[in-house]
Amino acid sequence: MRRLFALTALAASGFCFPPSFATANALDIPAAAPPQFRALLRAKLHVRPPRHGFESRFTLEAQHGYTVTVVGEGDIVVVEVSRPLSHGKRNLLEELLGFKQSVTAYVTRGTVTERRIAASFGNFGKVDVRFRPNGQVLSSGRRGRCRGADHFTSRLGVFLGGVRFSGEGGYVAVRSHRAKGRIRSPLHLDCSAPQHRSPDRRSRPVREGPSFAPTVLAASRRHGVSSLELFTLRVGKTTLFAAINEESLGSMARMRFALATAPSKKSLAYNEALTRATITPPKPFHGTGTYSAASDGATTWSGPLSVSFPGAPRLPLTGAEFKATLTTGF
Amino acid sequence: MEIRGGEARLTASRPALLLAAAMVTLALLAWPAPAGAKVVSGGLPQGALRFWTAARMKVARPLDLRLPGRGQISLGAPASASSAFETVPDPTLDASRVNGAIFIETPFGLGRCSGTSVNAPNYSVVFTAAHCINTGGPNGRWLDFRWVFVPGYRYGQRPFGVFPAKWIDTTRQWRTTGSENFDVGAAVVARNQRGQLLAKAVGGTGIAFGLKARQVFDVHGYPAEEPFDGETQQVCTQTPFLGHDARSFLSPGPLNLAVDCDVTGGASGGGWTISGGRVLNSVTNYGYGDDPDTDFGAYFGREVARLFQRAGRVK
Repeated sequence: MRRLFALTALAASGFCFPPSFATANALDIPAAAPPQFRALLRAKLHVRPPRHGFESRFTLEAQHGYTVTVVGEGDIVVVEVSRPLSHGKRNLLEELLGFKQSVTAYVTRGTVTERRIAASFGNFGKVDVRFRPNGQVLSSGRRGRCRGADHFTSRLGVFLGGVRFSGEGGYVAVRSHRAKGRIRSPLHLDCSAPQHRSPDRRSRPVREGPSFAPTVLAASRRHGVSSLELFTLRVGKTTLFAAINEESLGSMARMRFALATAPSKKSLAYNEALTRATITPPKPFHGTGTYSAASDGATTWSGPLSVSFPGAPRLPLTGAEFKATLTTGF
Repeated sequence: MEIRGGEARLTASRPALLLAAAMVTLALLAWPAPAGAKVVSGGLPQGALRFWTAARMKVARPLDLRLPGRGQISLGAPASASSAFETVPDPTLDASRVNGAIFIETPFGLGRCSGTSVNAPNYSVVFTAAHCINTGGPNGRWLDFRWVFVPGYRYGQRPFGVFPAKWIDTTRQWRTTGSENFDVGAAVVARNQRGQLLAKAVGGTGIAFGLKARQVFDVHGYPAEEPFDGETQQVCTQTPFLGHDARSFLSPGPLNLAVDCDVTGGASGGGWTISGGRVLNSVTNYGYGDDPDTDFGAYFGREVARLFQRAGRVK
């Protein structure tokens, strides 16, 4: 149930504000998410991901507790900056997705081969490293019902060369000539989940369960090649909050993601007529946002709600430029 | 009692449901699956000419709203008063008549897009968005039924006649992955009712590949959603490149281009020209519902050049 909830939320968040008048194939639009999100969305939406290819990855530790991960896949090179906000116990989403609560990803085109990752991030820096395998090979557990490969193979080694990256205002800076990493192939497995026989329910009495009709509060502002979206999904006792900020900066895109979950009772309140709602999400969000709809259909979305991303503390999530909607059920 | 009533209603509606399901299944089975370029069978073009009356053209809706899976997509809010689109007063003039409306019959209703006549050795090439040709991805379907191009269309008038498609194709990546970064398609059209070849009747633009993204475009098209009605040709003149769509960085391939232009459904496939309207360098692909003022188009790179070469060789 937890997994289903998370997947539903992610899929829904990806389609919260889809391209409108001429979307070519919404299923293959990555929901502005890091690779692990894209993989999840593709799985959820039954879009077959590319099986061939590989993913190169290494991680560097930076100051202020930031972690900088460089990922190469196809012709895409990503520098991902994150700082776990929850210390000790991992939260539900981290467990499910291996994802941090708040991430800023810098994405550009580059050269990714089994020997090299090279890309320029303009004024932010550059990556040009070569992979030297150390002979160690790790295999993931084999999966059943696969087309093609049934497991991942990771070649471990070191990336040698140069990595220089500095975030906006120097909030994070790394400079390195050597980092341990791995190259994993294939890019994706094409395996189906084992078929579980559903129990025979014919003789079971029908019981009234809790209502799982989701409630969605979405707000977004978009202008040109920059957007900021907030997505709130309440299913039963849990509410998920997601914020996505996308911006194109010349030959690079910057994407920021924040996720949090909280008990619905504490974090989301709305009236039956869906004319008023208030959210109070936990960190990395701050403050409260209030939605109200007038009888003529006009809506307002206000309050001191903000979100903190790496490199962008307290980005306002409310205001007149946001378009907000509140819906319930499918 | 309530449960029985429910059962009774279900029983009563079951034949209708089964019939509807069977019809949809048959429609999908009859819909050709993609495999390379699609040659439209010989008898169909003339049927398309007879089929597309002014009344049918008027009721055709933007293709993206006609296809399954797209019905839930919200349209952008109506364009604001600062709309940059301007009505072309006379679409039969030299500079405008290369642009036209595309009409297609799909299993889900009558659809429409926009397109541009491009100069090619066979004088018969129309460029548009790939999603006006094929639904995209490995399970995509050709949209080849009664596909016609009407240059200079205006209020049901067809000043240069109707040109039915005889061959259609998209970039290879569109057919295999459905990636938005490759949403470009082309058609080779048969002669019109007067026996004229397209480019001999209306002329054609040049086409350029591999240029810098930073261009100033004239964006043409036949938007059909509010505040437009699809009956007139519209143009956003001299609108500069704003940047790339951040999301297109996440898929392989060339990055999509953004310009300031408040297009709506129906403008898909409309040409983006440079050099005073003489050279085609992109086509309208998509926009976002929460920002109706920005239009996104495909970059014309090597794959589009290959598509143009394939189309130009068709006899």
